[in-house]
Amino acid sequence: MDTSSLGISYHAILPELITATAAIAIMVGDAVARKISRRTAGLLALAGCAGAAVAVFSLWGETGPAFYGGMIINDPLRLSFAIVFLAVSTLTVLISIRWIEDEGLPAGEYFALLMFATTGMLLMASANDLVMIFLGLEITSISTYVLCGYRRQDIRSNESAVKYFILGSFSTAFLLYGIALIYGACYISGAHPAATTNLQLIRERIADGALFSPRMLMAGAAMMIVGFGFKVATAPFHIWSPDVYQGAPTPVTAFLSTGSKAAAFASFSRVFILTFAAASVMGSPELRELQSAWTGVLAVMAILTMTIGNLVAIVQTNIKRMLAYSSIAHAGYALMGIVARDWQAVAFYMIGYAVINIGAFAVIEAIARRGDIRTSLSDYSGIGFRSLGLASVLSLFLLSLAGIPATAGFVGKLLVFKSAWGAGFHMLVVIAVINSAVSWYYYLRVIVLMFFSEPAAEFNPPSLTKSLGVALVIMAIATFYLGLLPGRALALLENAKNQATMIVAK
Amino acid sequence: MNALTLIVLAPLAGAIFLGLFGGRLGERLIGFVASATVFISAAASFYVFFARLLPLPEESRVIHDYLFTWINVGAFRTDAALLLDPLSGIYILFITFVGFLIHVFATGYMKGERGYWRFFAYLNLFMFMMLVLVLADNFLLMFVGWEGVGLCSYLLIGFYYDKTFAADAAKKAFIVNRIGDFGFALGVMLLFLKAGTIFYFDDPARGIGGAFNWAMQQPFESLTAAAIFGGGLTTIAALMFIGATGKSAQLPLFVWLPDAMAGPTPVSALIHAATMVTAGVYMVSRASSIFIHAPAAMLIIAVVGAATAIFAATIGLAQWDIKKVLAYSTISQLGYMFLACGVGAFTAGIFHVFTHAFFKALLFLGSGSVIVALHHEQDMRNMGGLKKYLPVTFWTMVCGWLAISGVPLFSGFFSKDEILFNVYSSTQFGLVWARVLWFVGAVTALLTAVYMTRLMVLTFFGERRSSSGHSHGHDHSTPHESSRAMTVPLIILAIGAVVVGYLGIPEGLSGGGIPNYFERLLEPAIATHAAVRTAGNDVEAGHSLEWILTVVSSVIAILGILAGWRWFRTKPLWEPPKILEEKYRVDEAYDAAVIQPIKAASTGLLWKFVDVRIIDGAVNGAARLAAAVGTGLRYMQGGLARAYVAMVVLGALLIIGYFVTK
Repeated sequence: MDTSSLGISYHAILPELITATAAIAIMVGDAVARKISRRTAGLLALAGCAGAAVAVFSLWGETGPAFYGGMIINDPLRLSFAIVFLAVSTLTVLISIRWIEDEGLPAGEYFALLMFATTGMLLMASANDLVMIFLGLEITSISTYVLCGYRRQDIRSNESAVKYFILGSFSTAFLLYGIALIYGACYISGAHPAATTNLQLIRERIADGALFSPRMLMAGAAMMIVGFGFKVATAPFHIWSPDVYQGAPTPVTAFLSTGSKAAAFASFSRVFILTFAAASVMGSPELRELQSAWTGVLAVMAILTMTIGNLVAIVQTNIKRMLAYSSIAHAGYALMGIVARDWQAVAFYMIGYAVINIGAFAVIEAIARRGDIRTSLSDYSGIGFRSLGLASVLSLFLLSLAGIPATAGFVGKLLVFKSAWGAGFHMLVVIAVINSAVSWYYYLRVIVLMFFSEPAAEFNPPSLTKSLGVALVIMAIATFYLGLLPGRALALLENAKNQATMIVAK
Repeated sequence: MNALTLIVLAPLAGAIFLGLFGGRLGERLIGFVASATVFISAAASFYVFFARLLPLPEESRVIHDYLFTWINVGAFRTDAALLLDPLSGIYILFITFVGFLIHVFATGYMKGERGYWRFFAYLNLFMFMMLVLVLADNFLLMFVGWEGVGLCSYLLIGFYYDKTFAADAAKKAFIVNRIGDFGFALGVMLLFLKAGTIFYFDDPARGIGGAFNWAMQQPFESLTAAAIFGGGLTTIAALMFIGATGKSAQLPLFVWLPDAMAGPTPVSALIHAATMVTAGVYMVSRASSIFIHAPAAMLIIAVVGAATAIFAATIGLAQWDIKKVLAYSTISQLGYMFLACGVGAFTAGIFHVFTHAFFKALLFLGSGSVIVALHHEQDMRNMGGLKKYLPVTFWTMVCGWLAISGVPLFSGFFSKDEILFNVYSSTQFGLVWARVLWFVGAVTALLTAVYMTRLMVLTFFGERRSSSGHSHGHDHSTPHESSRAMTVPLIILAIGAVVVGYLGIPEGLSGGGIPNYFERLLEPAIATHAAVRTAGNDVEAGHSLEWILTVVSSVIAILGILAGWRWFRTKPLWEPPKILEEKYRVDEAYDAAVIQPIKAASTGLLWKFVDVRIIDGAVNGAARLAAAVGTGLRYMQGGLARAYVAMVVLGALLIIGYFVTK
């Protein structure tokens, strides 16, 4: 077998290579230089993200056959989600530098883990094989388990890490079992290969109706929903996320609630939209049955997720926990895009959500100070005019989370709602709109607290570091940019969609 | 992209620069940057207006500046594009010119204040938003500016945020303006539904149609109450006017403006006298082609304007706070402008906006100079006799006083006279309306002269009255004239307050020899129809009528000043009727009629019932439901990892079961 038939191409995995190299460089640097400085580590991580972004753009439009024996694919879905992940990582690095400083924690491992997690996420999007997806997911998960417990002295941080680890490994088992079942279900005696985890082959076999056991396929798909659903934190598999989000260090929470979710959505899209769905009205009865089963289940899960998230968020008194439930609710909205089989809408939703949610967490981190002390909602009363800048951007992000027009959150919601409506899920859209209205209550409450309440006892406006300030400005501008001028981003995605349909048609 | 963009972006650049780096700069540099950016904007405005717009032939005096297409979804399109025509041209000239002078004044006035950079960042941002409002070429972009100036106004009123009254005033302004803005937004939406576009004019180059071109082809609607709710042009006009009543402080939404005086005085001069509050007049004049087709809405405008004018003037008569007098005076003058618009004399209204910008900014800045000299004393009972201490302030304010009172040959005289003449000779609402509205306007003119005289007498004439706290005859601090940065703008504005009126000498006064330059200039930008141009039918009769009315209003002005002089020179501390001093108790009435019921409803209904019963009930119910589900699983309690595992298993079983049995 010569190398060309294996499809070895370093260009095709350049983004992953760059982030992994950055991670290793930080670790080695940390070991060689005894203690790598926070600034250096942060800058290396930023350079890694930037380099990977350049690599992603260099790959744009270069859709070809799968690489590495069908393991890696370069298609619009991969590139679109890669941009989401890299944006998340860049922003997380920017808001982490100050936090690491304040907490006095070692920076080298932190940024290295963050870059490894990014590498895993990138692999999840570029994977064309269930095994690769599993690998990417594990790289991400293991890095984030450690990150959750990074504040070693803090019992809440420890609790968060242990819970995430236990429940995470449990759900990974479901995913793995699901992969195994699908592998078996696609067995064709005498074919080469006989059974497969390659997604293209799986799609072909389902479409031809040439399956070993359709029921096995169904069971496998159900188990994969459990595995991905856990990562996305959809009900009823959301139950871990409030505890984990509240206990984890704030920048890690920001990362988990956006990047990790987006990665799971990328895999959801890859497996369910691009593999388990009919490209046209034709298709085998097996495929149609599978498709109707998973869209139905995911629609119900989306409703449960957003409703539980919003209702429970209302009664929270801790802002991190409130945003954890808000994050659950948002996963519900984004899931509507999966149900409607419109991954472009999901990708746009996730990048908008990443910007505003990381933004909100960045402000919370600045106000919480060392050791996550001030995270109760009552700490926010009356700080509006004492710290006008922070309070204003936090208000902006919260309004955007609520979905006020002219911001990123509104356009994202509009897109997924539109897709779901167009796909015929009218009831789902109605429930989502009601949910959205309910959510106004708890987002606005924070703003009202900040600007219209009597000031809390003592509050010293936190000073901003340069990195955090830059991050906040970027995110505020991006919130407006995506909200006011979404045209360019949408055109890019639309372009990607056309390419994608071409590929499927082939 | 051309020089119009520069006009708009210069102050924005200043605002961004000051917002980002202002905290680390010295006061001199901050003041310089803030003033310089507005100066650039002013220079560009003068250049574009005189060198580019005026040379164009009269009927095509429009300059477009297309930046980019903002939203283009289906039939709905909005561009970020600017439009300069004589109407927006007049506005940008005085906004940037007066704005520049006020910026310079503020560098002196705000000296040593905490948050100096913040103040100028907001002020520059305001200039940007105001210029966007005026230069927009469609209603949505205008609305962006409209909301933007509201935001800046909110921030600047609440500039002294650690003072409760300032924070409350800011909130009040914000909330009251939302009511008006809601009306405006509805009006624009209805316009889009009807006309299919929210651009002002056709622009074949971009392939867009204009709402005004559409409106001009519509039939005139009837002067009936039914037309207001008919969903046509009259409804659009009425909704838009609701927006104008909010921004321009007309009945019944005027209550925020007097409180807005809690902001620093340059803010009162710039935003709450010269520019932002006249945005309503701009909007109505801009949409004149819509309004002239809606006579019922026009009558509402005229009546609201006249009522506001006299209502606010009577209150102004009885205030002790020097800035409050000027605030009510502003409301009253704005009423005048709307009265003019209501009878279709848009050019007269704009002319009054123009002259008012000069003399009212002058009066506010003058009062600011007095306030600084007296260490932030605003109560006129503690003033008096300041003439000899503050000569420059005094003499410049005399110019403003004579101008606003309508003394012949000062600017206010020409514009006020023009309005009264147009009201008197209007025919579209019938003779009775014309006479009644004219009479109200004339009485308001008299009252204006009286309360302004009172302000001048109490402040500058007679003996010095110091506050009761330290009543020793020789006050330890003799007031000093303000610095050059403050007096020079006063002098320039005073010159303006005297001379700008000559741009619009009424045609009748010169026997038709000199055409009204201002009116001629604006003509192409303003829609008129035959019924409004009454004087046009009989030029000779119109001119003689104009002479008679001019004499009448001159007599009114001089009478008012003399009466005020005689009365308040002898009894400066005369106690006005309580009901006037308490502003007809409108705030209290609103509190009882609107605020208390809302509070009661929100605690009684929303909180106690909806929140506690329904939402909490639902939440608790959900929790109870979850608990009920969990009784089978004994360890189903918050926080335990094994309970969570059980939950995951349960969910997984349900899904797998569904898939497999399907």
